[in-house]
Amino acid sequence: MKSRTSCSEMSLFRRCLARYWPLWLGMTAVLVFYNILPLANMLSDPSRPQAASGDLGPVQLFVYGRAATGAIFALLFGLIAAMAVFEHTYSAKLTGLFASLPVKRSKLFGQHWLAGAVMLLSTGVFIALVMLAVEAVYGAADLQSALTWCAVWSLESLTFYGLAAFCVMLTGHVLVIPALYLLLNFAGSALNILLGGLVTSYSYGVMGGENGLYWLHTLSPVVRLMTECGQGFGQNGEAAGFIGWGWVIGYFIVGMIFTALALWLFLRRQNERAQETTAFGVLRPILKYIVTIFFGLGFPFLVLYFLGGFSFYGSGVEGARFFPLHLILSLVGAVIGYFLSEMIIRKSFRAFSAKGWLKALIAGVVCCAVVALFRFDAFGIARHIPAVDDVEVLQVSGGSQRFVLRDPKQIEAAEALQRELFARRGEAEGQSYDGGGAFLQYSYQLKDGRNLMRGYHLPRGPLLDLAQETLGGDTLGKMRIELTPPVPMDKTHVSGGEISYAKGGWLELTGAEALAFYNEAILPDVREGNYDEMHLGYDEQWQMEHCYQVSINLAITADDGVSGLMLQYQPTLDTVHTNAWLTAHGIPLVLEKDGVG
Amino acid sequence: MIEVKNLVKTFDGFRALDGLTMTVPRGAVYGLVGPNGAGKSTLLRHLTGIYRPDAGTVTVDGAPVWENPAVKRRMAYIPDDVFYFRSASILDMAKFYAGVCPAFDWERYDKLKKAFDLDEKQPIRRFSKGMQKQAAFWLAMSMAPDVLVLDEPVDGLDPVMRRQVWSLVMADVADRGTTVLVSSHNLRELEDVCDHVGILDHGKLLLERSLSDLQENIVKVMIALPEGQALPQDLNILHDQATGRMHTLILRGDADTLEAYLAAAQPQYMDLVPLTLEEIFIYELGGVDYEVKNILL
Repeated sequence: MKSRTSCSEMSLFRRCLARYWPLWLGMTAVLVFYNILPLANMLSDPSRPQAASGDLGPVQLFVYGRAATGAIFALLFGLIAAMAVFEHTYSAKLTGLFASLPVKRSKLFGQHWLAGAVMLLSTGVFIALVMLAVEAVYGAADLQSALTWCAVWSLESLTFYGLAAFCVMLTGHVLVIPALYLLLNFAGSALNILLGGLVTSYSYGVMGGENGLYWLHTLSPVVRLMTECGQGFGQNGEAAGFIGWGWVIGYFIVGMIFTALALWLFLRRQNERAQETTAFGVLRPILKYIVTIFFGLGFPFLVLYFLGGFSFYGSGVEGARFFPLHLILSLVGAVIGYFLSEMIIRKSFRAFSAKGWLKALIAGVVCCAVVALFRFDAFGIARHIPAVDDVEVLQVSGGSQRFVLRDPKQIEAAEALQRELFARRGEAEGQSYDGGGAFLQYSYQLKDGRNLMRGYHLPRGPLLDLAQETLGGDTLGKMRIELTPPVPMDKTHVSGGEISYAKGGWLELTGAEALAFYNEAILPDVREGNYDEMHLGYDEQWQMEHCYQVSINLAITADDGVSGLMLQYQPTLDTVHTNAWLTAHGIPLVLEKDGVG
Repeated sequence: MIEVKNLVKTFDGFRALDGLTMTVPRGAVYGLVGPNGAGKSTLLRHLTGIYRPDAGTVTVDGAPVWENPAVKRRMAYIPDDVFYFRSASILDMAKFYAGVCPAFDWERYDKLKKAFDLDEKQPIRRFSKGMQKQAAFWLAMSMAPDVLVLDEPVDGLDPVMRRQVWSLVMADVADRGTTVLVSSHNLRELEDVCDHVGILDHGKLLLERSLSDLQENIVKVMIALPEGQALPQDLNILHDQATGRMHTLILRGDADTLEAYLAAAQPQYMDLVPLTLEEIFIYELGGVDYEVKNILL
């Protein structure tokens, strides 16, 4: 005999499934369109690779790819399922109906959560079965990939379902739920973009993507899942199954924690909050100031980007020109954000008050302070230069040349230049590059395995001259001879080469020929300093009058036997050994100013 | 017995219930009266376990209602704005309630089918407002509740159906001892059915009495005394309106005793007139500085 409790559990659960079956149908249809139809299309193509051999590689590649990109549907359907089954939290009438039922709130939550979970999981199982059936029809049934897809879908959909349930419990308003959900899922990435934008706009030398804030994407599960998961490949390019399980399982655990938090909130939320913007009074200021800060930081970028003339990732030189305007826009943005959130929370346009203006302006000042902190490098991001002892390798590149520094003395000399450039950043800040200039890049490989990259825009003028002089002068120039290319080199280092020259001429070298060319001609020129000058900026006149229309490329393999490097040389009037070798091999030496095509 | 003690509920700083205390005896038909915004619906939502009290207690037979399925199983609630699942028919809703509320009585449901002329298989959303209210009564009474909580229950019902619904409720009270708590902003509506009445205003219960207590202790007398004769001194007069020698008095006290006492003054004319419930409340509360007319009318 059924107990009363189980009776009520089944009734609510069944009602939920019966009520929302059209959603299940819709989700299934979308996943069929996204997964099954393209799979069938691919398998039915007789010209597909390995169609006859029964190789499952293409099937796995397809299915694992869809498993990774399917995160976006898990994101969407998780929200839909949560909004459907927890409808009774934001519809006042439904709230009254369910709250008056003789069911504990924990069971009410559990039964509804279970109904949503069953919808999502059954969709996954159904799609996996259909996937397998379609593959079988074309003789390419792959149980492993189908199971993998199903597992990934199940874990990801429950992850986002948990996050969505959490958002549902925070608010009582149907329109605020998706807004909160987007905030929860993309705040990390948005913050990365905003703070990254500030760093790279104002921190001289800090390049886009190298601002140390990439970890913030981890706070945006869908971003990480879509970028970290998919078909894995071995060193030789062979398929290596699905990769990204760590992310999938990690986020699933996070999703379950959020599910538990959702239950905790549900047990504490007040039923009278149905249809209110926030289900807990304490959330109002939190939500308000999050929106305010986002507007305060984001609004200036939005305006400056659309107004034009602002390079979002300007390596810290362009921002200086816009700093005063940026502060004003930050203030305006914060005020807009503050009153917008007030209107949403109050569900009224009557959100303006003297006290409100004061709070909005204070929030705006805070945003301006944040911008100023980055502008004046309060966090020391821009002036941070690794200690020489911590550096494994430093690669300095500029113009078309680069050289690799391993010796502490050389690294120290390069870092001294970096410090000098930073100290004189005022000469570069606010400069437009329409007048030309150069970009000097420092790529550090640190002994702890981390990498650090800095890039300096050098406008024409004293700063560029300083860099030019240092890199081409006695200090670094002579030491460079000993380090690039690796000396001595043997045949294991040089795998081949090619020389292109005037009028479309082309000469290909074997490894042995390239090595001989290097030892007989290039190395003597390097040692004599004939290749020393590193041209950071493009000096057209010098180029035309000194350089031959010849391009030498030598493919070098490093000592580790894996990493490759292409050494590029352009002979000049000074490179006498190289010029002699080229002439002896019938390659015409034509100055660029005299060359054609 | 339903007991509410020092109940407080605040909505964003607005004190909707302000230390409210009330008692509904078992088997009573308790009318809760008050103007719009007095806190009637808020109180009923506490009684049905929808709202959690900020302070105070709400108990049924000594057990708290909040998060107590055992108590809620014995209750049925008809809110002022009844709600049904989209596309659900009465039968669908009955199945739903039967699944959730073990006390749901299908036999009773079938019997009540005759009282309400409604198509149980038609989606309820196609019904008129009055028909939806009838459906609510049908479903609520099929649950055979010990406590029936009704919020403005007969709004939208035609006079015939009102009478029928009340007669069903009263039959339930008589047969099963059901306790009924019914709220209304209209005292006249409750006069015929309630045996206890409470007046609610600004989140507080102004007065709570049994109807018999009230009616037995207040009398309206129209009296004309001989020229030059004054009213006896020791009468507890709540209200006195004089037109010439004719006085219309509202007196506190037992009707028979007062009649005998006044007869001793040899009035030229005397008549004891029954008071409406509304009049009783007006005069009972009139001296307590409340705008009673605003509450009741």
